[in-house]
Amino acid sequence: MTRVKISIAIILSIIITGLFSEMYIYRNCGKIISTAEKISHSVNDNSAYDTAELCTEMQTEWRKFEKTASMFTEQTKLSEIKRMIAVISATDDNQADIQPLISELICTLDTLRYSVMTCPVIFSEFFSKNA
Amino acid sequence: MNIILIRSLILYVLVIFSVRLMGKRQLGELQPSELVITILISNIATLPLEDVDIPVIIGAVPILSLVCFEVIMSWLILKFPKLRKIVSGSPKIIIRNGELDVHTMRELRLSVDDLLTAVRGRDIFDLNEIQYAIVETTGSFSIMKKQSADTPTRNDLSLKCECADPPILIISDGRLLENAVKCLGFTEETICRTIKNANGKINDILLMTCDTSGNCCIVWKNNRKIFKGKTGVSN
Repeated sequence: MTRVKISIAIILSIIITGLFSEMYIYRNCGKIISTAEKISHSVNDNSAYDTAELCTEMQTEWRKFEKTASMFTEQTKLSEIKRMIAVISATDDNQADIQPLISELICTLDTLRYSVMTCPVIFSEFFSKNA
Repeated sequence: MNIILIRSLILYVLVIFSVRLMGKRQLGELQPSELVITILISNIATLPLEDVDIPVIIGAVPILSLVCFEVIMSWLILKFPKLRKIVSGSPKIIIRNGELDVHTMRELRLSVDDLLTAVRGRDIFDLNEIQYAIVETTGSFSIMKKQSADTPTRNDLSLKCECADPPILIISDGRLLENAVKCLGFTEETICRTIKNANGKINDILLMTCDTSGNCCIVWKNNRKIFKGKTGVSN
């Protein structure tokens, strides 16, 4: 019976950790996506100062998120996003060139946040309401 | 390199923990579900070891989950015997009253060669000697010989039989195992006295065994002759 109890405890802890990690990844990806969208708008408005500030903000958000996310997701997915964020932040002069990259980043982050979801349809609805 | 070392250590500990969690039942003959779990665990454990990009947790979670499901399933099987039939199947009789059940053999896709091999493994070379043969859910064969071909027991021969427990190791390489002595119902003093009677010391003993009747056997570290005697006999 002890083994059964241990097993149930392990499964419950996996479920709880899984839910928290999903929630964490979903929310943080959402934050970075919204910052990326803001960058996209500021690029359209030709506001170089805002773009630079938003890029710094996005990098800070990414650094915070990356450490924890590396425990739950494959390194290859994260390094791809990391590369795109680095390129977006480094492009100051030809800002129009970064629009496709921002779209790609948003798309990749969206894929990442839905790939960790247990049940994407239900959970995304729940998280978007509680966000 | 060190990362791989640490990952290996984590997964090694995890797999040992998982096998221990499954318990002794699973370490013997495997039921179908247990075989599946064992194969899966060995495969999953290699993934995070081979690829450093995969987080250890991605390897650990399926291993732990599978083992936990297996433990819970075996508990459920214990509670609901009908579930056992679904998960493990049921034993099949292939020789009944000395007659071969060809239909069941076909159902099990068991050839005559397979049957003869299994039977020979039990030191039976003539199918006529078998009364019953059952294929268990683990795939092993349980065979009951016909009385005419079976080995007579002590009861059949009306021989006197004593119910004696097997001898227990009480001294190992000069070290007295106190729990074993207590288990036999002797005291350390009794054992020391026996050793003294054998003209030796505890440190000189390689191993000493004793049974509940007091019959003991001492093997010395040097080339002295093995001592066999009774424990608790005074001078």
